[in-house]
Amino acid sequence: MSTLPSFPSATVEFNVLHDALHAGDDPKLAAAKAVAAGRGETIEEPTSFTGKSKTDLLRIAKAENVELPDNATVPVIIDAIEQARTAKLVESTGIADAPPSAPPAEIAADVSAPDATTGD
Amino acid sequence: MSRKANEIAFALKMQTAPSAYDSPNTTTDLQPISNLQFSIAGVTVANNEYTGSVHRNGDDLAGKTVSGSFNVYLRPPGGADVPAADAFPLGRILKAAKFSEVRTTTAIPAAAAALGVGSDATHAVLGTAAGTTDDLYKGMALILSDIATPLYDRLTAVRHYAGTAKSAELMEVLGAPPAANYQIPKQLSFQRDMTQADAPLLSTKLWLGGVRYDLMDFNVSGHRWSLPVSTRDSATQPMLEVSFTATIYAYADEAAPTVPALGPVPLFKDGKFWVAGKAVGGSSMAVDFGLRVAYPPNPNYTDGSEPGELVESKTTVNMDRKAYLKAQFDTLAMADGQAYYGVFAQWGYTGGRMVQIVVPDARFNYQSPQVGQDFITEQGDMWVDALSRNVCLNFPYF
Repeated sequence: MSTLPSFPSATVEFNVLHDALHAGDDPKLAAAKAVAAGRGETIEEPTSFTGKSKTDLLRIAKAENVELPDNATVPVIIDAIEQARTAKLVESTGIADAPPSAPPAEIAADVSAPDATTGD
Repeated sequence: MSRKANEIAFALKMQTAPSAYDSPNTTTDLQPISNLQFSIAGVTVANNEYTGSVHRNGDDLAGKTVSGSFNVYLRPPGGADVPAADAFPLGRILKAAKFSEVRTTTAIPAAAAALGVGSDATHAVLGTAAGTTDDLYKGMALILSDIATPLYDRLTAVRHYAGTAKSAELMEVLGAPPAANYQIPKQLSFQRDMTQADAPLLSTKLWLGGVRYDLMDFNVSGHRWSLPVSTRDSATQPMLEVSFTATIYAYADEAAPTVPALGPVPLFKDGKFWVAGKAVGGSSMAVDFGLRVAYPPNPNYTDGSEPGELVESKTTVNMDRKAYLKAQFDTLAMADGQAYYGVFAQWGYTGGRMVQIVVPDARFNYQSPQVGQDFITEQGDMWVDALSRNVCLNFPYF
């Protein structure tokens, strides 16, 4: 189960958020993309890692200051780079965990009464 | 020639950095305001030196504070489409009061689609295009095609959204379960920002009878929505009451620009007013955001303080509402129970000219009966806790 994070006091493009969620993005990343779009920025998709050698990936990780464990495997390096990029984007857009949503409350009024929709 | 009190105009722009004035455009950044109070007050310190007589020297002048307040009519943006990002000047005030401007520029789905299975009078199960993230549509406007005949009455709002079941709990109780189509319409929404980030500052121009004040580090220090019900006996525009503090960046003699007429303000009537799952009668509702701003001391600044920062906000909803029989609407029991209940107001008739106010969860304080007039009414607060998207303002387009 995933929950939408809190947005900052900025413009948020909801359709960008919705599309990103539909494409499988984590909600925080999707929200960060929506805030960036609100600023008029286009978030470039991460460079495709397909076909890159371990040496290439290590070079990218170094250039982006991504810390890696000793003897990191290719999947670990790719995962670390992607997580670092997400964290950077989320931080730069002010996305934060949302406070909890309230549990659903019971409807207390007698809503079956004939006056239920007009307030009479 | 005298300076005239009606020659007032106001323009505002988001300020990109503290203490860096960004000049608003005198045409596109204008925002009509009313009931302006503007104060320039000296900060003084008493001179306690003896003068050898009973006579004392005057105070030393340490600086000045600039503060004030005004009202802004709650007029939707209008037009056929959601305005561009940050193009709605009223939205800038809301952002400075810690709201996110959420633009839904394409309806979701683009064409109304069939509801899923399992809707009831308080829940709409959305269709296949709906997202699976919890809270995704919380506080947003929703169109259900078969709940009313007039288009504007088909609008309702989402109280909670459970992503796994695609179930949208509604802010109202329907006469029958919805069974046709749904759509999240295009809308410009302002959702409460619950992050720890500081609210942004504004740069403004205020023309006051031939003098223009450029106000920097303009901080919304008080914010209240006043929503009086317009009746056959009296009508009042819904409005935002805004208090502010600022610093004078510059000032000069300059005539106020012409503020264009933006048309009538939709009145709070012929709409929906639901509290705790019941359509209620009443004469007014207000949302007070209980803002408190403080100024960090800093001798590097002209007046010894940094620009104001929001340090507290405690939101309450207050209303003057009909008092009902215990069997109909038992506020005493609801206050005893301290459960959460929704508060929902909606009015207007056409897309881009409608207003929705959505408070998904509020708790009752005890409501006090009022017997001074023709009808028995109840007055009292409802508390809005620090929950996700706890107050939302929507301008739907359809």
